[in-house]
Amino acid sequence: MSLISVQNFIAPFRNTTHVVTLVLVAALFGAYRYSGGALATVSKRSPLAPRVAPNVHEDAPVIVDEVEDADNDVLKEVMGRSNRKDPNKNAKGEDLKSTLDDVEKKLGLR
Amino acid sequence: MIEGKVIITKSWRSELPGLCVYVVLLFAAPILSDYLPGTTFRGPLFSFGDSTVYLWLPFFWLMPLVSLLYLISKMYDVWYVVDRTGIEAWSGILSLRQQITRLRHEDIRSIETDQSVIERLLDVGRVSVATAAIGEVEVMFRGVASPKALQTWLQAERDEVQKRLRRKIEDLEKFPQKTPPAEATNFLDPTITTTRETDAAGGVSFK
Repeated sequence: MSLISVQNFIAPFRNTTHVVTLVLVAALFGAYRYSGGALATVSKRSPLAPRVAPNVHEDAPVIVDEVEDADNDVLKEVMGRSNRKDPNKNAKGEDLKSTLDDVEKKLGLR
Repeated sequence: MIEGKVIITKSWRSELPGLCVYVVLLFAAPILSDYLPGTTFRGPLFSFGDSTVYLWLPFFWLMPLVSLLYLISKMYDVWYVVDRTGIEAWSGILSLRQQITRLRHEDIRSIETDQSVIERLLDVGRVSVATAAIGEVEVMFRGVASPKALQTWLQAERDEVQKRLRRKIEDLEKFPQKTPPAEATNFLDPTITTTRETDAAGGVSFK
Protein backbone atom coordinates (compact mmCIF):
# COMPACT_ATOMS: atom_id res chain seq x y z
CA MET A 1 0.00 0.00 0.00
CA SER A 2 1.37 3.39 -0.91
CA LEU A 3 2.17 5.90 1.81
CA ILE A 4 -0.20 8.53 0.43
CA SER A 5 -3.42 6.64 0.67
CA VAL A 6 -7.00 7.47 1.63
CA GLN A 7 -6.80 4.76 4.28
CA ASN A 8 -3.94 6.59 6.01
CA PHE A 9 -5.86 9.88 5.99
CA ILE A 10 -9.05 8.47 7.47
CA ALA A 11 -7.28 6.23 9.99
CA PRO A 12 -7.34 8.83 12.86
CA PHE A 13 -11.09 9.28 12.41
CA ARG A 14 -11.83 5.59 12.87
CA ASN A 15 -10.54 5.47 16.44
CA THR A 16 -12.72 7.14 19.07
CA THR A 17 -9.71 8.05 21.22
CA HIS A 18 -8.05 9.89 18.35
CA VAL A 19 -11.29 11.68 17.40
CA VAL A 20 -11.72 12.94 20.99
CA THR A 21 -8.09 14.10 20.99
CA LEU A 22 -8.67 16.04 17.76
CA VAL A 23 -11.81 17.67 19.20
CA LEU A 24 -9.95 18.70 22.38
CA VAL A 25 -7.07 20.20 20.38
CA ALA A 26 -9.56 22.07 18.15
CA ALA A 27 -11.29 23.45 21.27
CA LEU A 28 -7.90 24.57 22.59
CA PHE A 29 -7.22 26.44 19.36
CA GLY A 30 -10.66 28.09 19.62
CA ALA A 31 -9.85 29.21 23.16
CA TYR A 32 -6.51 30.59 21.93
CA ARG A 33 -8.19 32.74 19.30
CA TYR A 34 -10.97 33.78 21.65
CA SER A 35 -8.45 34.75 24.35
CA GLY A 36 -6.78 37.15 21.94
CA GLY A 37 -4.05 34.95 20.58
CA ALA A 38 -2.96 35.56 17.03
CA LEU A 39 -0.15 35.05 14.59
CA ALA A 40 0.58 37.60 11.87
CA THR A 41 3.23 37.97 9.21
CA VAL A 42 4.37 41.47 8.30
CA SER A 43 6.62 42.26 5.41
CA LYS A 44 9.18 45.05 5.79
CA ARG A 45 8.33 46.25 2.29
CA SER A 46 4.70 46.67 3.22
CA PRO A 47 3.91 49.89 5.09
CA LEU A 48 1.01 48.19 6.89
CA ALA A 49 1.33 47.60 10.60
CA PRO A 50 0.74 44.09 11.96
CA ARG A 51 -2.85 43.08 12.32
CA VAL A 52 -4.38 44.03 15.65
CA ALA A 53 -5.20 41.11 17.90
CA PRO A 54 -8.91 40.43 18.44
CA ASN A 55 -8.89 41.39 22.11
CA VAL A 56 -7.25 44.77 21.60
CA HIS A 57 -10.19 47.14 21.92
CA GLU A 58 -10.00 50.66 20.69
CA ASP A 59 -11.67 53.44 22.63
CA ALA A 60 -15.27 53.95 21.61
CA PRO A 61 -16.01 57.30 19.89
CA VAL A 62 -17.35 59.97 22.25
CA ILE A 63 -20.93 60.98 21.44
CA VAL A 64 -21.47 64.67 21.95
CA ASP A 65 -25.10 65.67 22.27
CA GLU A 66 -24.65 69.39 22.01
CA VAL A 67 -22.10 70.67 19.61
CA GLU A 68 -20.58 73.85 20.82
CA ASP A 69 -19.35 74.95 17.46
CA ALA A 70 -22.41 76.01 15.49
CA ASP A 71 -20.52 75.82 12.20
CA ASN A 72 -20.23 72.05 12.61
CA ASP A 73 -23.96 71.63 13.14
CA VAL A 74 -24.84 71.72 9.48
CA LEU A 75 -26.37 68.28 9.37
CA LYS A 76 -28.83 69.01 12.16
CA GLU A 77 -29.73 72.29 10.55
CA VAL A 78 -30.49 70.55 7.28
CA MET A 79 -32.62 68.00 9.11
CA GLY A 80 -34.48 70.82 10.88
CA ARG A 81 -33.31 69.84 14.31
CA SER A 82 -30.76 72.50 14.88
CA ASN A 83 -29.77 73.38 18.41
CA ARG A 84 -28.36 76.62 17.26
CA LYS A 85 -29.93 79.55 19.06
CA ASP A 86 -31.78 82.17 16.99
CA PRO A 87 -29.88 85.45 17.44
CA ASN A 88 -33.19 87.43 17.27
CA LYS A 89 -34.74 85.50 20.20
CA ASN A 90 -33.88 85.41 23.84
CA ALA A 91 -33.54 82.24 25.96
CA LYS A 92 -37.34 82.02 26.44
CA GLY A 93 -37.95 82.35 22.70
CA GLU A 94 -39.25 85.97 22.84
CA ASP A 95 -38.25 88.37 20.10
CA LEU A 96 -35.43 90.69 21.01
CA LYS A 97 -35.88 94.36 20.27
CA SER A 98 -32.80 95.91 18.80
CA THR A 99 -32.00 99.61 18.85
CA LEU A 100 -32.71 99.86 15.12
CA ASP A 101 -36.19 98.41 15.52
CA ASP A 102 -38.03 101.73 14.99
CA VAL A 103 -35.96 102.62 11.93
CA GLU A 104 -36.63 99.23 10.38
CA LYS A 105 -40.40 99.64 10.92
CA LYS A 106 -40.40 103.08 9.28
CA LEU A 107 -38.48 101.79 6.31
CA GLY A 108 -40.97 98.98 5.99
CA LEU A 109 -38.42 96.26 6.57
CA ARG A 110 -40.51 94.75 9.36
CA MET B 1 -8.78 -16.69 17.11
CA ILE B 2 -7.29 -13.22 16.75
CA GLU B 3 -6.40 -12.16 13.24
CA GLY B 4 -3.33 -9.93 13.24
CA LYS B 5 -2.89 -7.55 16.13
CA VAL B 6 -5.45 -5.76 18.28
CA ILE B 7 -4.21 -2.52 19.82
CA ILE B 8 -6.00 -1.44 22.98
CA THR B 9 -5.54 2.15 24.19
CA LYS B 10 -6.78 3.93 27.27
CA SER B 11 -10.24 5.42 27.12
CA TRP B 12 -10.79 9.17 27.55
CA ARG B 13 -13.56 8.30 30.01
CA SER B 14 -10.91 7.06 32.44
CA GLU B 15 -9.46 10.58 32.60
CA LEU B 16 -12.76 12.25 33.52
CA PRO B 17 -11.41 14.40 36.44
CA GLY B 18 -8.59 15.71 34.26
CA LEU B 19 -11.05 16.39 31.44
CA CYS B 20 -13.29 18.40 33.79
CA VAL B 21 -10.31 20.52 34.88
CA TYR B 22 -9.38 21.06 31.23
CA VAL B 23 -12.90 22.22 30.26
CA VAL B 24 -13.04 24.65 33.21
CA LEU B 25 -9.65 26.13 32.26
CA LEU B 26 -10.73 26.26 28.61
CA PHE B 27 -13.66 28.53 29.49
CA ALA B 28 -11.74 30.50 32.11
CA ALA B 29 -8.89 31.45 29.75
CA PRO B 30 -10.87 33.84 27.45
CA ILE B 31 -12.75 35.39 30.39
CA LEU B 32 -9.57 36.11 32.36
CA SER B 33 -7.78 37.37 29.27
CA ASP B 34 -10.66 39.75 28.61
CA TYR B 35 -10.57 41.09 32.19
CA LEU B 36 -6.79 41.41 32.20
CA PRO B 37 -5.72 42.36 28.65
CA GLY B 38 -2.22 43.14 29.89
CA THR B 39 -1.55 39.44 30.33
CA THR B 40 -1.32 38.93 26.57
CA PHE B 41 2.30 38.88 25.50
CA ARG B 42 2.99 40.25 22.06
CA GLY B 43 6.08 40.66 19.99
CA PRO B 44 8.10 39.41 17.04
CA LEU B 45 8.52 35.64 17.03
CA PHE B 46 10.99 35.16 14.20
CA SER B 47 11.98 36.70 10.87
CA PHE B 48 12.55 35.14 7.50
CA GLY B 49 13.65 37.23 4.55
CA ASP B 50 11.78 40.51 4.58
CA SER B 51 8.96 39.20 6.74
CA THR B 52 8.56 39.06 10.50
CA VAL B 53 6.10 36.81 12.27
CA TYR B 54 4.37 38.45 15.25
CA LEU B 55 2.77 36.42 18.03
CA TRP B 56 0.04 37.33 20.51
CA LEU B 57 0.17 34.83 23.35
CA PRO B 58 -2.44 35.06 26.12
CA PHE B 59 -0.92 33.95 29.42
CA PHE B 60 -4.13 32.37 30.73
CA TRP B 61 -4.39 30.21 27.62
CA LEU B 62 -1.26 28.36 28.79
CA MET B 63 -3.28 26.78 31.62
CA PRO B 64 -5.58 24.65 29.41
CA LEU B 65 -2.60 23.95 27.14
CA VAL B 66 -0.57 22.44 29.99
CA SER B 67 -3.63 20.56 31.21
CA LEU B 68 -4.27 19.03 27.77
CA LEU B 69 -0.61 18.11 27.25
CA TYR B 70 -0.62 16.32 30.60
CA LEU B 71 -3.79 14.41 29.64
CA ILE B 72 -2.43 13.46 26.21
CA SER B 73 0.84 12.26 27.73
CA LYS B 74 -1.12 10.03 30.11
CA MET B 75 -3.36 8.74 27.33
CA TYR B 76 -0.73 7.95 24.72
CA ASP B 77 2.08 6.89 27.05
CA VAL B 78 0.76 3.34 27.24
CA TRP B 79 -0.93 0.86 24.96
CA TYR B 80 -1.58 -2.84 24.90
CA VAL B 81 -1.27 -5.24 22.01
CA VAL B 82 -3.07 -8.58 21.92
CA ASP B 83 -2.24 -11.07 19.17
CA ARG B 84 -2.63 -14.80 18.70
CA THR B 85 0.54 -15.57 20.66
CA GLY B 86 0.08 -13.35 23.71
CA ILE B 87 -0.22 -9.93 25.30
CA GLU B 88 2.23 -7.03 25.09
CA ALA B 89 2.08 -3.99 27.39
CA TRP B 90 3.99 -0.96 26.13
CA SER B 91 4.53 1.74 28.74
CA GLY B 92 6.64 4.88 28.60
CA ILE B 93 6.08 5.43 24.88
CA LEU B 94 6.36 9.22 25.34
CA SER B 95 8.97 8.92 28.11
CA LEU B 96 12.71 8.52 27.98
CA ARG B 97 12.44 5.03 29.46
CA GLN B 98 10.23 2.50 27.71
CA GLN B 99 9.13 -0.82 29.15
CA ILE B 100 7.60 -3.70 27.18
CA THR B 101 6.15 -6.68 28.99
CA ARG B 102 5.14 -9.75 27.01
CA LEU B 103 3.04 -12.66 28.17
CA ARG B 104 2.08 -15.79 26.28
CA HIS B 105 -1.55 -16.85 26.41
CA GLU B 106 -0.68 -20.29 27.75
CA ASP B 107 1.19 -18.72 30.72
CA ILE B 108 -1.77 -16.67 31.91
CA ARG B 109 -3.17 -17.96 35.17
CA SER B 110 -5.81 -15.44 36.19
CA ILE B 111 -7.48 -12.36 34.73
CA GLU B 112 -9.21 -9.97 37.14
CA THR B 113 -11.10 -6.71 36.74
CA ASP B 114 -11.17 -3.78 39.15
CA GLN B 115 -13.72 -0.93 38.93
CA SER B 116 -14.92 1.83 41.24
CA VAL B 117 -18.55 3.01 41.32
CA ILE B 118 -17.94 5.86 38.90
CA GLU B 119 -15.86 3.61 36.65
CA ARG B 120 -18.74 1.13 36.55
CA LEU B 121 -21.08 3.91 35.48
CA LEU B 122 -18.63 4.95 32.76
CA ASP B 123 -17.77 1.35 31.82
CA VAL B 124 -14.03 1.74 32.29
CA GLY B 125 -11.60 0.05 34.66
CA ARG B 126 -8.48 -2.02 35.15
CA VAL B 127 -7.82 -5.59 34.03
CA SER B 128 -5.02 -7.43 35.84
CA VAL B 129 -3.31 -10.38 34.21
CA ALA B 130 -1.27 -12.75 36.40
CA THR B 131 0.95 -15.60 35.24
CA ALA B 132 1.52 -19.01 36.69
CA ALA B 133 5.26 -18.38 36.84
CA ILE B 134 5.43 -15.82 39.63
CA GLY B 135 1.80 -15.64 40.66
CA GLU B 136 1.79 -11.85 40.64
CA VAL B 137 0.14 -9.31 38.39
CA GLU B 138 2.46 -8.84 35.44
CA VAL B 139 0.33 -6.80 33.09
CA MET B 140 -2.35 -4.34 34.13
CA PHE B 141 -4.60 -2.78 31.53
CA ARG B 142 -5.31 0.63 33.10
CA GLY B 143 -8.28 2.78 32.12
CA VAL B 144 -9.52 0.54 29.33
CA ALA B 145 -13.11 0.59 28.10
CA SER B 146 -15.39 -2.40 28.74
CA PRO B 147 -13.08 -4.30 31.12
CA LYS B 148 -15.56 -7.18 31.54
CA ALA B 149 -15.68 -7.78 27.80
CA LEU B 150 -11.89 -7.64 27.64
CA GLN B 151 -11.60 -10.13 30.50
CA THR B 152 -13.99 -12.57 28.80
CA TRP B 153 -12.18 -12.20 25.50
CA LEU B 154 -8.72 -12.79 27.00
CA GLN B 155 -9.98 -15.82 28.95
CA ALA B 156 -11.53 -17.31 25.82
CA GLU B 157 -8.28 -16.74 23.94
CA ARG B 158 -6.24 -18.36 26.72
CA ASP B 159 -8.59 -21.36 26.87
CA GLU B 160 -8.42 -21.76 23.09
CA VAL B 161 -4.60 -21.74 23.11
CA GLN B 162 -4.42 -24.15 26.03
CA LYS B 163 -6.89 -26.51 24.31
CA ARG B 164 -4.79 -26.43 21.18
CA LEU B 165 -1.63 -27.22 23.13
CA ARG B 166 -3.30 -30.10 24.98
CA ARG B 167 -4.47 -31.58 21.67
CA LYS B 168 -0.95 -31.34 20.30
CA ILE B 169 0.49 -33.12 23.33
CA GLU B 170 -2.11 -35.88 23.00
CA ASP B 171 -1.27 -36.30 19.33
CA LEU B 172 2.41 -36.59 20.16
CA GLU B 173 1.67 -39.25 22.77
CA LYS B 174 -0.48 -41.23 20.34
CA PHE B 175 1.83 -40.94 17.36
CA PRO B 176 5.42 -40.54 18.59
CA GLN B 177 7.78 -39.06 16.01
CA LYS B 178 10.01 -41.58 14.25
CA THR B 179 13.74 -41.06 14.71
CA PRO B 180 15.66 -40.73 11.41
CA PRO B 181 17.75 -43.74 10.35
CA ALA B 182 21.41 -43.75 11.28
CA GLU B 183 22.46 -43.80 7.63
CA ALA B 184 20.62 -41.89 4.90
CA THR B 185 21.19 -41.75 1.16
CA ASN B 186 20.96 -38.58 -0.83
CA PHE B 187 18.02 -38.78 -3.23
CA LEU B 188 19.75 -36.77 -5.94
CA ASP B 189 23.15 -38.42 -5.69
CA PRO B 190 23.02 -42.04 -4.33
CA THR B 191 26.81 -42.13 -3.99
CA ILE B 192 26.63 -39.59 -1.12
CA THR B 193 25.68 -41.06 2.24
CA THR B 194 25.25 -39.20 5.49
CA THR B 195 26.04 -40.93 8.77
CA ARG B 196 24.63 -39.81 12.07
CA GLU B 197 26.89 -40.36 15.07
CA THR B 198 26.07 -39.88 18.69
CA ASP B 199 28.93 -39.33 21.13
CA ALA B 200 29.11 -40.34 24.79
CA ALA B 201 27.77 -36.95 25.96
CA GLY B 202 24.66 -37.32 23.79
CA GLY B 203 25.75 -34.82 21.13
CA VAL B 204 24.71 -35.59 17.55
CA SER B 205 26.92 -34.97 14.56
CA PHE B 206 26.43 -35.71 10.85
CA LYS B 207 29.24 -36.91 8.54
